[in-house]
Amino acid sequence: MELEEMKANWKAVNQRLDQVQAVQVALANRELKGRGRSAANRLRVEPIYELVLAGGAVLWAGNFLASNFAKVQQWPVAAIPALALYPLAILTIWCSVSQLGILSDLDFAAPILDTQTKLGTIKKIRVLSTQAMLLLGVPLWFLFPILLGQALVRFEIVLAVSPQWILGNLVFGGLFSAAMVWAARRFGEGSGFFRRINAILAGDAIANAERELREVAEFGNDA
Amino acid sequence: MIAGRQGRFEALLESHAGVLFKVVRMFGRRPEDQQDLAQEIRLQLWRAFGKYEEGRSFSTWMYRVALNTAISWQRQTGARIRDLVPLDDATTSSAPPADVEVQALYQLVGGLDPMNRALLLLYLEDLSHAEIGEVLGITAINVATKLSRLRQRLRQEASEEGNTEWN
Repeated sequence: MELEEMKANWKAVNQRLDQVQAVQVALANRELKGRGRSAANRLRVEPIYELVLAGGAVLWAGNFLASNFAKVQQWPVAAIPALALYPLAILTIWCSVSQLGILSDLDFAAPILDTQTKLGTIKKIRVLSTQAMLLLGVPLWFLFPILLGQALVRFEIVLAVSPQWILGNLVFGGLFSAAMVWAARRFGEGSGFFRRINAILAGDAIANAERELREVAEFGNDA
Repeated sequence: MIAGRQGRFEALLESHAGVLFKVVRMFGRRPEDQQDLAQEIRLQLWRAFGKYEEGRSFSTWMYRVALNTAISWQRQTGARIRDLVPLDDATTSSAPPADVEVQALYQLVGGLDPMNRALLLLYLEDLSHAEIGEVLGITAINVATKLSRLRQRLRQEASEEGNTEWN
């Protein structure tokens, strides 16, 4: 069948299907009327949320090091959590700001090539950010309850625990990360959760995002 | 003011509802997917409506928003429309013979990447090469080249299917 034949058939069948679908969509709209959030909303909300969290982490780390400078010099292990948090938080801030920068210029009414390139770039940054979170954030897992605890009781918990406790948790976090990578590879085929983790850690997700970007770029260049 | 804008939007949307339905059918597989996508497109259209300039073609604007939303939705959900039945069985049970051809079209569409799927939809909707280029953001010459490749691909697939049937 030639494209021209398809065009004629397409018109005939669509006339009938449009009527059926009009009823379906009207019903769906009635059911979904309260739903105010869309996928595009999530694109904006997530980087803002991450930016706030990472900003808070940088402020805590800076404040901790500045207020405990003398103690940290005597007991350098206490500085590890704050110093380790810096690169992760700075990377997260960079990722969030980059996404928000692209989003501020994103227009769904712009030509498809332009919009899809921007959306592809955002997706790539998001995958990179999640990859960094999994690989750097998991070994530092113990920092998050500590930060929460400090916010609640206003007490420098890091200074109250022993160096062994900090090092032990770092080692545990490292081992946990390695176990997560192993489990994702071992069970990646079966479980949806491990498949997603495996895709991110093994680089499949980033390769997928790059493929989509390449697909869009080739569509624009290929004359 | 907002009520007036909303009324204008609803009226335009109603008069161009076919655009929404065709995009939804081209990108959504199951009826629930189609409803979800239709809702997503409506939300995105309403959000973008503030920037819509009166006097410019509403259908071109609507195609851009709807296709951009559908492509990102498809990439996000990983939806495929291979083996798609256009709506449910109940709606196609008394289908005219042309539906067989349309099924072949949906088979072709299922194997296309989202950008080419958008191109094919715009072509089937009888838009000129210049209009298709305006929606997609490519030149009219590029549109013609890509359509010619789609034709070749279609012929090749048809001949492969013919060979398989004979073997």
